[in-house]
Amino acid sequence: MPATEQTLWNMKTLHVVFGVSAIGLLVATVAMLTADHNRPWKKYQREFRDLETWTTAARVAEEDSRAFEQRARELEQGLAEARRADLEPSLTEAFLAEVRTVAADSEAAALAAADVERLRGEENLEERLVLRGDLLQRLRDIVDRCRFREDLSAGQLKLSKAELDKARADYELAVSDDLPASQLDQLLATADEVRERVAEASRTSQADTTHRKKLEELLRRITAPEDDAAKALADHRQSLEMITKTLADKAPNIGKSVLELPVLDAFNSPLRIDQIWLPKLTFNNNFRDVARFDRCTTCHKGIDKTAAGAPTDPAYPQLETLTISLATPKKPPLLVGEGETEASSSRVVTIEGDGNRQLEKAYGMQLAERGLFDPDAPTVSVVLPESPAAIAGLRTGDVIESIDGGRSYARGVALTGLIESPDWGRPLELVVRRGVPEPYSSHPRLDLFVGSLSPHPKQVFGCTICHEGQGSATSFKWASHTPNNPAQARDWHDEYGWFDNHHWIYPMLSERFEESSCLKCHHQVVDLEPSSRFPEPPAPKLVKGYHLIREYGCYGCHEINGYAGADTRVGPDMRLSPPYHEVAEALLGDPGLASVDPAAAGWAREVRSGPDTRQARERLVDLVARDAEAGEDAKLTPRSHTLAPLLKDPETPGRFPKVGPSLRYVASKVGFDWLYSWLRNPMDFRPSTKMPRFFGLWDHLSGAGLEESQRYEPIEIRSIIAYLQAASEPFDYVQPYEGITAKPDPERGRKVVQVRGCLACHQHEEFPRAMSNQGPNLSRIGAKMQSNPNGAAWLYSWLREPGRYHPKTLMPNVLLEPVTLPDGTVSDPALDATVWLMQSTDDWQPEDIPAADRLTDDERAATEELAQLYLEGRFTTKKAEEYARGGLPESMADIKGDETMLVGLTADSPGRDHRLLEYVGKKTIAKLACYSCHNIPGFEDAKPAGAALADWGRKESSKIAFEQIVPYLMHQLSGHGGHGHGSAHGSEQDPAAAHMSIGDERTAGIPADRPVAQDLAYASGEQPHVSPESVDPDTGYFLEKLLAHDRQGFLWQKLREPRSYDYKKTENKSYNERYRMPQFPFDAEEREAVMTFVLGLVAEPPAEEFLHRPDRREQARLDGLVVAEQYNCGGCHVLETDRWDVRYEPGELGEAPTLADYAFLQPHFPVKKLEDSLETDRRGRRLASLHGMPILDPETGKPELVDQDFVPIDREEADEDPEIIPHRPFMLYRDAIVDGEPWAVGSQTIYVPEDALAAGKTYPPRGGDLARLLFPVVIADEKEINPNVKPSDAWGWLPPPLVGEGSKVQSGWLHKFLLAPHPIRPAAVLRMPRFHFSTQEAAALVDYFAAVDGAEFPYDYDARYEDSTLAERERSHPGHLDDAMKIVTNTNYCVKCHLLGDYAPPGNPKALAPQLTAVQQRLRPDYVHGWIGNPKRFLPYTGMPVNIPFDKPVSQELYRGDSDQQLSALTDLLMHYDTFANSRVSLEAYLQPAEPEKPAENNPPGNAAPPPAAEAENESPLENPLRSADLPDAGDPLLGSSAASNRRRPPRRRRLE
Amino acid sequence: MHSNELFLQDVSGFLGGYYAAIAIINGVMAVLLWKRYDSPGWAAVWAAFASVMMILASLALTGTEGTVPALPDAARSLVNTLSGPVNYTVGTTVLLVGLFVFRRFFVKPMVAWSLFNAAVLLMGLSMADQNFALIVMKPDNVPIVGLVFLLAFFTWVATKQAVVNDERIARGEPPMEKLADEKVLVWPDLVYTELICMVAVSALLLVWALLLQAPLEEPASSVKTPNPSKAPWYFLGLQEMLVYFDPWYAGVVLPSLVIFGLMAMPYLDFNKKGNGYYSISERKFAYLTWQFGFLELWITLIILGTFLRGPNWNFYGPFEYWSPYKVEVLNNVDLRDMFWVNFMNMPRPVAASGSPWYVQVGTILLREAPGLLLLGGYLVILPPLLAVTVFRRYYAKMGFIRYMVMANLMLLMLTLPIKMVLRWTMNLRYIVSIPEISLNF
Repeated sequence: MPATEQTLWNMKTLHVVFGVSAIGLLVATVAMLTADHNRPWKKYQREFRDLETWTTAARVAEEDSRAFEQRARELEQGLAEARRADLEPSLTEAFLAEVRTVAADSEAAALAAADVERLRGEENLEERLVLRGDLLQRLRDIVDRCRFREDLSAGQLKLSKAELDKARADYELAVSDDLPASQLDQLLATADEVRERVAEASRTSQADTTHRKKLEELLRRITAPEDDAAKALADHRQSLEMITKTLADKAPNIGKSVLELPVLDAFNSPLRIDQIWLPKLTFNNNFRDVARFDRCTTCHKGIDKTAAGAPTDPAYPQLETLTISLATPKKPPLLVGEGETEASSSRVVTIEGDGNRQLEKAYGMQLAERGLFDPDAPTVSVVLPESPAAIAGLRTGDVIESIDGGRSYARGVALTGLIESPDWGRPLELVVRRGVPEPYSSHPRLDLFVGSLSPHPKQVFGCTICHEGQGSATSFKWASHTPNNPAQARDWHDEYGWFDNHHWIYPMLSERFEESSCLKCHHQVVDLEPSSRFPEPPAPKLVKGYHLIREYGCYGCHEINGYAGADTRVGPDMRLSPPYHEVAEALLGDPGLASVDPAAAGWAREVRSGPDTRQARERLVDLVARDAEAGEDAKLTPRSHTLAPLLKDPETPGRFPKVGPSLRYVASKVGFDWLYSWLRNPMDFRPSTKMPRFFGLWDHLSGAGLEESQRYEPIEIRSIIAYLQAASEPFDYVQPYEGITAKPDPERGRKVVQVRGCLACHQHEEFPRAMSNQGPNLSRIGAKMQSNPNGAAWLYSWLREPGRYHPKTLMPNVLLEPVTLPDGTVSDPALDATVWLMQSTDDWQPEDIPAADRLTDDERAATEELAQLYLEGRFTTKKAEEYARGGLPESMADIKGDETMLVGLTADSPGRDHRLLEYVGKKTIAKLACYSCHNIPGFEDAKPAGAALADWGRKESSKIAFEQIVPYLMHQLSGHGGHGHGSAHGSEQDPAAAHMSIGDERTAGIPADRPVAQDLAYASGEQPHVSPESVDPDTGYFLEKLLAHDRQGFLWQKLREPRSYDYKKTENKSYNERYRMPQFPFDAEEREAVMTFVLGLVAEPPAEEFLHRPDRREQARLDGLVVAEQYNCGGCHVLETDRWDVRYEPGELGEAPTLADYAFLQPHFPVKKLEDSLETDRRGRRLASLHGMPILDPETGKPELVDQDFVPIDREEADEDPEIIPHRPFMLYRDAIVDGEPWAVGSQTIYVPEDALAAGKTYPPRGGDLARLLFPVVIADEKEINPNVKPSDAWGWLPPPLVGEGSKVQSGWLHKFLLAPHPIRPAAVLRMPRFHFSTQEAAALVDYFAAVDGAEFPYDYDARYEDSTLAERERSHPGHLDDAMKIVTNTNYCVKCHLLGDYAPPGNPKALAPQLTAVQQRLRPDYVHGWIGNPKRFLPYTGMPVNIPFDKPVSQELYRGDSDQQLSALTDLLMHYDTFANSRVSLEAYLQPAEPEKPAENNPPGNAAPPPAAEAENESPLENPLRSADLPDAGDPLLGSSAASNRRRPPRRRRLE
Repeated sequence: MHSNELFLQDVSGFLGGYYAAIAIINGVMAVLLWKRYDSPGWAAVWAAFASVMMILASLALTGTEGTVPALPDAARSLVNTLSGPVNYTVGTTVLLVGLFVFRRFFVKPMVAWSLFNAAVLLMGLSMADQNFALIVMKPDNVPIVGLVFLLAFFTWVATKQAVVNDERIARGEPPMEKLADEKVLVWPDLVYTELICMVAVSALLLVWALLLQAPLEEPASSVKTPNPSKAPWYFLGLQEMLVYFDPWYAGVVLPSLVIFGLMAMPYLDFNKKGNGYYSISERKFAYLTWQFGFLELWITLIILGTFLRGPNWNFYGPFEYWSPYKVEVLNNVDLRDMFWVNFMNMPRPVAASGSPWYVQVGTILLREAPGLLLLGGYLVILPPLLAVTVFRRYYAKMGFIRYMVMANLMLLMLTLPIKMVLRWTMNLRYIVSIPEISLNF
């Protein structure tokens, strides 16, 4: 068919359709561009820019304030004055004199001189200014003319030089052309002539230059005053100009506004996405690791902004509300108009203009015309330094919410409150809202994070490596923000469309768990404790969790392995240490051990309790392996063969001990009744116990499941006791000392407990101030020990030698030795303490205890049922039943496993019930994993029972069994919880239950049955109406997590009620398949702390360079800290002193002490630091950082309080009397800077006004609790003997602060001392106990002290150790040591107090000082040198005086020389005391005359006879250069100190008088 | 986690708009019926319906439980209880058969409109259920819902055309399509309409992209597959087959046969009628076979796979929460065990270990004999049998090869429903199971 004009569709319709669809497309496109324009981050960026503009404008306003102008005017005035002042006559004179040296300028000089005269005579200021300007111009003209001449002569010089070049060239050309000599001579003459001219020109030019420079310099000096003034003014203006420029840059302008218009902004908008590319901080996408792109800063623009002038303070703090007291002036701020005086204006104040002038006058502040986020809000824009507003603490950007209780919702209202209505002279109370809302605020810890000076700068770390979440997202909901509670979830949902995007497997950590991710890199955890660099705790919650896990020993059941392979660290490593000592104990119990090798028992004992066991272990392993190879003839049991390989060194051994006491000898310690009560519910006996509860956790049970528990649990408890008692090995109690004549006295015992260090770790109700919970509370210890007939003997043994019972116990041997009492009798403090502790029962009695020795029929049946349940694991049901009743036949004697216990048992064999119980007991112990915390015979090789935690923080929720936990919680929360309460588990009586009630204290006030019209998606119709929002926020948070099947929820409930996951599951489980985890007595806060730690275990360390790898010193500090915390060194000793960062008014802390001392003892600070200390903040205060200890009140032991006259006062007095300005005295332990002056340690007490303290910050000390606790006690004790006791002396009797210990003692000595402490200070009331350290642990502590003090470690060297140094001294001062000894032995000096060898000074033993002969081994030479110079510089409380003042040497009769030399001599003597003493002792009397024999080649020098002296002397130095170098010169007096030479000298002996 | 209240708040805006949209189109329909088609009765009905929808819209906008229109709990539980693969498959089959048998009734516009309204209303009421909405509103699934409606519409249009044509042909008139078969112009009839389509589709895509953001799913992991792991929607029919067949058959053979069958179709088709126009009566066999294969064995299985298969590939009712903990009994039995163990009451033949290969093969063949015989009978005996009985006429017309191809294709297609029925009724796992060479059928 031919084409026609006829179309199929009606064209008109098509046009309409086309038009409509085109409009549709347009609309869609516009919608798209609108959506782009409205992306939320653009709004945030615009807002943030406004915020920055506002803040900068406020700064401009502040800088531009009257004070600024005032200063500018002052400077201008200064400049004007400088410009009007006379020119310095001597300078002008000199200038003119110089000018006159040039004839051409003499006229100008004359004119200038006339001008100077005119200026001098002129009185009119204006005229002067003009005249002076003219004169200066004239002078400048002269200089210019000089420069002109200088240029001229330089040009002349240049020209003549060119001529010279030509003349020279002419001559040389002539030479090469071989011209006649005459011509050559002529040419030469010409050249000489020209050279003469050049020389002349050069002289002129140099003279001109010198002349000009001289004039210029003089002129500079003449104008210097006015130039300086001009520069000061320019500088002053420049800062303002800079901010103004910043403001101009930041403020919106037309260009930017255009680019930001809708549609246009899709292309090249100034608003753009910020992203940080982190190629090495990858995140795991399963198939590969992907680079991180963090775009968080697109919205969080202000995250790294710091406040002006404070590099770690946030510029935009997070929102908070504070109350501020603003002082008002006495008089109203009247603006004195023209013709008015202030006195005349007593009328009512009214606001004038914008009120800012009045505000500034009264308070030194201004209110912005327009608020920041709310235009009407009264927002502080200007706060002048040191004004009342600044002193009150107001800051730019603060919004005044109320004034004296009246709400100030608008600027005008606030103005009225501030200007019109105040009661002048009385301070106003302002409620102030400070900070900005999210996402504008800065990071609160810029010192740690994000800031460019922090260890985690933004560009290097980004955000999501710590916070997690989806960094590439640019909108709130896709960034996977995580709300911190259901209410926040609701708000976010409503405001931002937030939802729980469970597809993003790395959701942001909620606020409560944000510290978790620190563990990714900080595997050692202790590096997150406060340190001197970061005194503010960096991650307190995480650290708390870590300590809780350590204290409660979670790692016993749940392995926390920080290694993936030998060298790859993936997280904190908290594995149990290898069970060496347990295996050794098991081997010791093997009767065959002695017959294998007589030495074996010795090795095993060494492994059991020696500090370094490697060698003994290796020997034992070999021994047992050989025995095992003997097969039939093996003398050891198969069990020993199985265990011995455990003695080998694993690749990377764990380091954490089992937290519970050893149960290997438990039968010697406690009895049945107590054990039963304890196992049933440990909190019954000791409410503060760390032992978790295993039994009676029945809240989730009902019906048959509950009945089963009620029936079996008592049997399980009894069976555990039965096994423990049966397996318990005999214990060798410690026998009391011989020769004790005093009757044991509980009162003395009480004192022993109080002062001999027990309270460093233990609590007792009689000493309520002792708070440590390192060890158990001792208040009821008597009741426990009385349950065993040998309890007292055990307790005595434990006090004397804890290691005998438990070789690795943290309880040290406190070295209690017999004491002679004043009445001459001898008492045994351990016995006294035992007697007293046995009386500490708190009237506690075990209750409801079944008979220990027999079972009722019902109990027997239950025991058999339990046995059968276990036997069913190996045998058929029928056989199991049979064996449970009648035991295993003898024919099965060689069966392996626990069932051997039942071999040969018949229904009527004696003790059958007990054996059955033992079998069930062993199985129960294995089931409940008691061995994870306790050393139990038969379980030396048992493996951790719980899930490993190394990557629990990423555990797939699909791998977590949530079971019926939501219905359970719903029931519980709606008040229907707790079906099967056993009678023993009423929540009223049960502290554990009270501890764990839902939501704990925070739930209070929320009725449990509050009806909430919300259902849950997961809930079927049966659920009670409970939702996350209807309960308290914390419970709600976790409930929400449980509903979402999030691991956080699981963990929370697992820690709260671990067994509740059996809710409605027991019906379909056998009894032994139930959950076994016990309930720990955590409160809500502790639970979250533990969770924070566990959730941080992700086993995904970031790239190597991001892992926290401290340097050697820091590593040593951290390693030592782990040990120090484990053994509670801080219980007694101060490891780090208090730190007070005080903000004081200049001069407030008093005059700096004059420091006249040895040069090497002077505190030295960089000049910059001293200058910085003079800076004042806006309140006019200076900052000083003081390290030391507050001085304690000798009666109460609390920090002392004194008034302004330093008279001690009470807190009440201070509160009542407004005249009193309370001060806190402080003893410096580190040199400080106050008011630009150094304050040295030991110089004087510093009195800190309390308001200076309150304005600053204080950081608590680390450790020293016992010392502080005992401080008043020992003073009171001493007062009975010596009423004039000096309180500060008491520090010398208490555990010493270990600040500076590393630079004080020698590493080798400290190591030995830690392993085997001996008394040092005779005056100390308690001795350093002996801990059961391994050598590595001791070494870690030694290195720790050296590392924190910056001392050398692990070895220390000092030239003073060298004999050659000594020889040098001896050469320059013959009799060096002998003379030094004269000082030592002079009764006015050292031996007045110090022990020296066998000499003890008479007098009060409390005044005795340490043995001097031991100094050589103990102290570092530098320290000794400094210490003798001025002991107080090292220990501010020491009683040791300065014996050799720097300017006053001791008598020259003793030692000839100045103070420095005497000091060195004493040091040398003390550091070489052995050498000195040896030189005075002959050993000839002890030695047999040597038989002549051939010299042995490898004889050690000590044992073999030395080579005959003649031979040595005949030896040529060439043949043995070493010998000649080593042997001192025969004439050297030092020879006397060489051991080898002793034999050739007559013995010299000296006795002290 | 959304509680129901939060959910209702979230969904209320959508539901309000949804009911309002239904009200508007019914209003438009009423106006059209009244003004253009002069059918005031129907106009009144739809106007009334529209006003009811407006009321529902306002109720929905409250966003509170109890007022948002929803199916009663009892109805939802009933639907959940009644749903299951058997009921679903049987139900859809019955529905399709009913639609076919009563097609002359269903193609009436007002009936169709009523059905449409019923469907969208039911959909709206169901959307107030969180579990239902969670599945249906998943951004991935929204287009599938749209496609379901589109498919229904086009099926209806085609059926209507066919019914009209059939009536015309019965009356001896030419089909509708023959009336308008003149040629049309490239411009404007083709190009202009294409342009319009382009513009309209661009607009649609933009709006779609703005309203339904691309969903973020969990990162792929070789150790953890999503539960449920679903194929792309168009392959969900195939995936459903995997429930009943071994992967090689359901995943390789059957899809290949589908493609082969589609290619072979023109060559198998000997019916000259129905070319270029819609008709059912003139080619009932072709129509039924096609529709059965497409609608029943493909589309309904996609719907089943998309909306009703949840975690662990279990079947979930439309209002049921997709709990990953739901467990179903899956103890299916192979035919050989049914035969040897249950029927013959003897252990199934096992070759002694170490016996020569031919003994092993023989034993396997013996073991699988019942299945092999059955299968052989089905594929070898049934086609000739059909050729001389039911398909005698076809056989005559098509000739041996074409017939055999057609018969085998059809029989193979039917293996799916047959196997499904056997699974449901007899818990039959495999008819032939030779795990030794990974061959199961």
